[in-house]
Amino acid sequence: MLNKLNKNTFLIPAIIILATLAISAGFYISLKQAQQSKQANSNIEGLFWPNPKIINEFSVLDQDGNNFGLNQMKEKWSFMFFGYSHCPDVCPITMSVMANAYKELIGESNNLQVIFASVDPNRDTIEKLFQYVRYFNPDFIGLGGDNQMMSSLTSQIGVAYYINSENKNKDYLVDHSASIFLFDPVGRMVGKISPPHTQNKIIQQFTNIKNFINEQS
Amino acid sequence: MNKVNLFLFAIFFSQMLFSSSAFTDGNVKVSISDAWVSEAPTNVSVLAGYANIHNPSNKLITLIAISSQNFSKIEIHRSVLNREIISMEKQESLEISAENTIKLSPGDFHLMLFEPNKPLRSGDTVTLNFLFSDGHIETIEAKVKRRDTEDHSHQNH
Repeated sequence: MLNKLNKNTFLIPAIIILATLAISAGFYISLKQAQQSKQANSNIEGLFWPNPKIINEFSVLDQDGNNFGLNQMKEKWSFMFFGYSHCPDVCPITMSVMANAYKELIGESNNLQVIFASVDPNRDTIEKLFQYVRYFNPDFIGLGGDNQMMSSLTSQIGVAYYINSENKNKDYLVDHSASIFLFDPVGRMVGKISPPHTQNKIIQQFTNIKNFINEQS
Repeated sequence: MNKVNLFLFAIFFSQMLFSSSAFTDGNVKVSISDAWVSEAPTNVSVLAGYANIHNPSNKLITLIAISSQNFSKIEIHRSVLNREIISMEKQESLEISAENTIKLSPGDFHLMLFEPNKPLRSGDTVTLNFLFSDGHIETIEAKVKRRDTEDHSHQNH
């Protein structure tokens, strides 16, 4: 009897401790599951999550010759595509498709901008960029400057490009990344849209990524 | 007798194969259709050209050069996408196998047209001369057009 009582005095606190542990473990597991279900959303094509790329200050010139940096990326969703005006096939295809997608998207929200950044700033002067981007849409932004300025942007984004110097004359070609990079209104690079690009693909991927990012905040 | 026949046949057959006149003078000429040049912003000095080249003959034919009074130079290029990097690969020539069609189309094989001698706008026409390995020159007119980039699947809805 005494023995039994003694046992109980140890057993009751032990049960309480075990129960508390079990409850907290249950809490922890359900919390984890909730997090995992949130992460399952990150199967969205092209989304960089949970590690969006934080972009530091950069300094380039826009098509009007004004300074363009991180501040100009704020409070807007930005599509950024890299190319050069001496690229007659893929660059204008992407720009035309992007122009069609933009026309459709801008009807729904006006916090959007489309940026064409030159990987060939030596030949793509500011004046050239102005005419180039305006041809596709008067709202489009063209970025250039000199090589050092452009690398303050391209090095951060990790855009691969190199001058294909097989022919060292003025008609050289530039191999470059063909993806469209997507930045949220805080200026973080949150995703990319891989080629080949169609109007529907751009709209769909952008909408999915935007909705996901908005849910997180 | 049989041997002579065989000999004559061999001569005839080899002429069929190797004589360029047999090819170009016959009805099996290479044909070029749907040729167009993409309109571009006015200050852009290189344009892209597209067309379908059909080889109805029973032997391979090679496109070796394109010339035009409207451009300083024309090259054959191919846009190649590899690990999301796009590059343009210059082609020295373009082979079109027997009874086959090669499509020069956006994002693939295309003509790279350098320095138009005047600004080209949608609706203009340029003349292109395609030179083939058998010495035949096919001259065609290509319309300048603005790019139509609508998804075709989208358009059909």
